Amino acid sequence: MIYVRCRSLDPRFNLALEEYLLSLDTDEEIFCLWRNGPAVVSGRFQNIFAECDVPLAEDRGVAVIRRITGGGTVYHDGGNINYTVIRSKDENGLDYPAFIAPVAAALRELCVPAEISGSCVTVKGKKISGSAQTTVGGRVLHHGTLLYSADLNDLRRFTTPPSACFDSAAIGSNPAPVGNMIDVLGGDPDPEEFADEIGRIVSGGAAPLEPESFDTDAIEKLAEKYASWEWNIGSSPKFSFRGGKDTKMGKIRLSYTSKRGVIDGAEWSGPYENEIKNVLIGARLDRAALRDALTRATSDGSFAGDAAGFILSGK
Amino acid sequence: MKKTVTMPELKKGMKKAVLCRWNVEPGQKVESGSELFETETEKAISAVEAEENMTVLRLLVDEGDEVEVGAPLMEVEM
Repeated sequence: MIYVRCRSLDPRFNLALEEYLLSLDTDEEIFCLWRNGPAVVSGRFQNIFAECDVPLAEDRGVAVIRRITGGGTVYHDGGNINYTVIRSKDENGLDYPAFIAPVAAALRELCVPAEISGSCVTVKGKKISGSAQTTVGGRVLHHGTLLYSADLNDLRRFTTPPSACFDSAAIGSNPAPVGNMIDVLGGDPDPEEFADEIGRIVSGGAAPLEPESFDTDAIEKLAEKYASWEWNIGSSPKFSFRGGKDTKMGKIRLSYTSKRGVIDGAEWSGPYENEIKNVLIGARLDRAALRDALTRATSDGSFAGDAAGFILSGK
Repeated sequence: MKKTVTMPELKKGMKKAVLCRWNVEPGQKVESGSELFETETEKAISAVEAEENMTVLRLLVDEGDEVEVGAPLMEVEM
């Protein structure tokens, strides 16, 4: 087993590290532990705007990033520990319990009564871990969250759909009652130390490698993808939006369709109707770009800012 | 020779998957090993590659459609 212990809290770097490890030419199992600063992380084929209030996340300094595995949207902060297992695909295929078992066993050894339930881990009926997978070139990447001392209020805040305005065939999320492991363990939380203990048990006491042991230039290059609009938003499935909002200037009614993060059809009624209808089609779903375009069209920066947020969240 | 590409069983016991992303389009010549499409089942993403050189004739399902294993996905010319 190659055991990697990453101490960066940069979600873009960490997702890039995972993808880099998946690309390594090896048949060995790789086990990696890492944590992120505040970040909303969507599944590969989700409409991120339907899963999270993206403008709110941006206002609060929470990164919004798309990962390469399936499943739903999750919230990471320093109290959540992420684990990654990479193995060659075998006859058992994508067997979730087989990938989760070593981590669940480590948690039990650390006095957390963890039970595997499908792709999740529960403790006393509450979900403390979800996981997802992707397969590339005969290698399977399985990763999961481990809620240790996460801010559950922020978790709910940033993974609650902002409105009912979005409609698509995109993969949805399946929210479940969640809990932190610290609630069972008690004491002062130290997620970094707890992660180290998980790693010690799963790796059998092996000395961990750090990201610096690998090609950090290649990892940093990959991290550019996870910082890019083209990946995070531009690879979104197609969706439609229909909603309305009362503003000081009057009621807005908007319907639009989007493909790959770009508005490809729109009907706007309300303030600045003539100015705005020429701006939306072809516009990227990017708050700053929308705000700037709407400001140029209306010369009303305050309205443009509100409208940009509404287009992305329905609020 | 025309052939229909169907949804493979990417995981033992899998009954269906969502066709999430087409990576080819009608008229495109595709080399063996190129990615044809990506699927998601049980939160797992899999990319399906062309087993031989082919030309894409028709895409039979839309992105986002849930498709049963064995159901037709695309028509190709080998």
